[in-house]
Amino acid sequence: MSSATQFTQTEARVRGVLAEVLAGKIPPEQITVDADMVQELGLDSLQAIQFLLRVEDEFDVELDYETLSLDHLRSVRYFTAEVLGRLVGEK
Amino acid sequence: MHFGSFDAERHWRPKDLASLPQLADPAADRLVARMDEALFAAAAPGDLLITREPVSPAQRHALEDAGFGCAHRHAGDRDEAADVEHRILDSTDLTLLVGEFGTLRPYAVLPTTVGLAESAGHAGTVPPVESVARVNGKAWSSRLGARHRLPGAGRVVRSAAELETAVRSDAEEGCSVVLVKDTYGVAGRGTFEVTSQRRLARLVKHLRGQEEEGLRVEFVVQPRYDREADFSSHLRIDPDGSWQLLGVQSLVNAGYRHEVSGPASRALTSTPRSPTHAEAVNTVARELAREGYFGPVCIDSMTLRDGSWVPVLEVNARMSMGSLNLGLDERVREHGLRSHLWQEDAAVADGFTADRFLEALRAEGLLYEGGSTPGVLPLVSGSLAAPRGRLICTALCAPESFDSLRASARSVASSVGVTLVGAT
Repeated sequence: MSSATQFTQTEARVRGVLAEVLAGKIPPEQITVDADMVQELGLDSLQAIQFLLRVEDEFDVELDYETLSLDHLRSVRYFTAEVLGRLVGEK
Repeated sequence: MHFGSFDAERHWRPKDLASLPQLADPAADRLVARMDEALFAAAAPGDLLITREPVSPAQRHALEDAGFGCAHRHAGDRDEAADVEHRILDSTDLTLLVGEFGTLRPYAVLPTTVGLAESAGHAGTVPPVESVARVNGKAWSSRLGARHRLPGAGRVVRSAAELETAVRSDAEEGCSVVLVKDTYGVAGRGTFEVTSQRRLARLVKHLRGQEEEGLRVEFVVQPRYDREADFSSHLRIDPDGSWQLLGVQSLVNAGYRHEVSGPASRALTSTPRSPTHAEAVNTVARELAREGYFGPVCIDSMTLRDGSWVPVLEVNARMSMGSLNLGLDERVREHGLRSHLWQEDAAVADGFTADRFLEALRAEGLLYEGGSTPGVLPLVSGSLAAPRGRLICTALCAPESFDSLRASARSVASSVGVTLVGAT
């Protein structure tokens, strides 16, 4: 499996987690990999924590909340690459 | 005379308390700092409102046309980070102006509010801030609930170990989701859902780290109840301890955040339950007065699908969105209308102005302009700033028309650059 393929699968899993958190608020098809989670999808600070906790469950990783801000949730693609990518890669 | 910061809990929260996992959200903080514009809803003609920032002239004219005008000054152009209370206190002109008005009606009593009242010659007209801070903590209302055996009261925990035990206990009793609440959390910030052992372990580890740094743990642990309906009871306690129930509002929350306040069904409070609604409200009012608190109070309650109820989810000893809506409601009922105050997050396009939104509402015949013709009235213009904002409006109409009127207002908002998340 190429790294490019693996990366896309990770994005899809992240998108699936996000869809769960936003269920009833945003139709899953609106959650594209480039959609801004905060400005376009309306993720608020509470939902952001729920999202991060579910990401931890999904990927069996531990995120450092002290170093994260809403700015890291710019998009599924950005979050996957800049935050999750390193952790998943380290495992 | 009206003024006040809407982020009161931040001022009441002791600095040495441990916190739940959270992300900084400066944009939301900036938005909340503009919400004091909504106090136009509480002001009567002849009252004075001082807002933290200037208010769009078009917005003020719209409010006046709708019958909600009052004298207005703003405390802008000062220290950018300062809240409205500090800004007024730092201005000799504004402090003198405050002194000319007989009664202070702050949104909430903060430490600076007390100093401001003294400087303006109104010493003793607001309750002691220590009492205010104490009774606004969820720990206080949870202990009250436990003491009076009110159903559904949360448990106060004072260490990570106690929290772990309390959450496990609720889970063993069959609660699939246990809530851990910051005692000064508000609008969903400060609520943590424990849904698994793993998540509990994650939270306990997070809190133990803070305990090692010397921070104090104080949270409320409560099952996530099977909600049927939320509602809020609004009362005013006088300095002599007497009190009156002003009204009850239905409440719709989006997650744990306020979304809609509107007329409440009589069944919410008249259905026979133990304790009765009157008994629960009386209990809270007496305890608040005993603590030395006087002023506005909002008690949040919940009915459950099994027919029972949680009479005291939390106590807000301050004004609230529900109390603002209750005031609006009283003023339009003579026209055969009811008030439905709602707020929702929005993506706001560059170049958007509140004036355009008002013009568009007017062009569509949707803007409320007083009298008995239903309509929508934006209550806060400053919260609609690019790129992230919040639409805060009231729909003045018959209850059965609220959904369609809100949908029309959303459509108009979208046409001028305010995209509401999840709007259908």
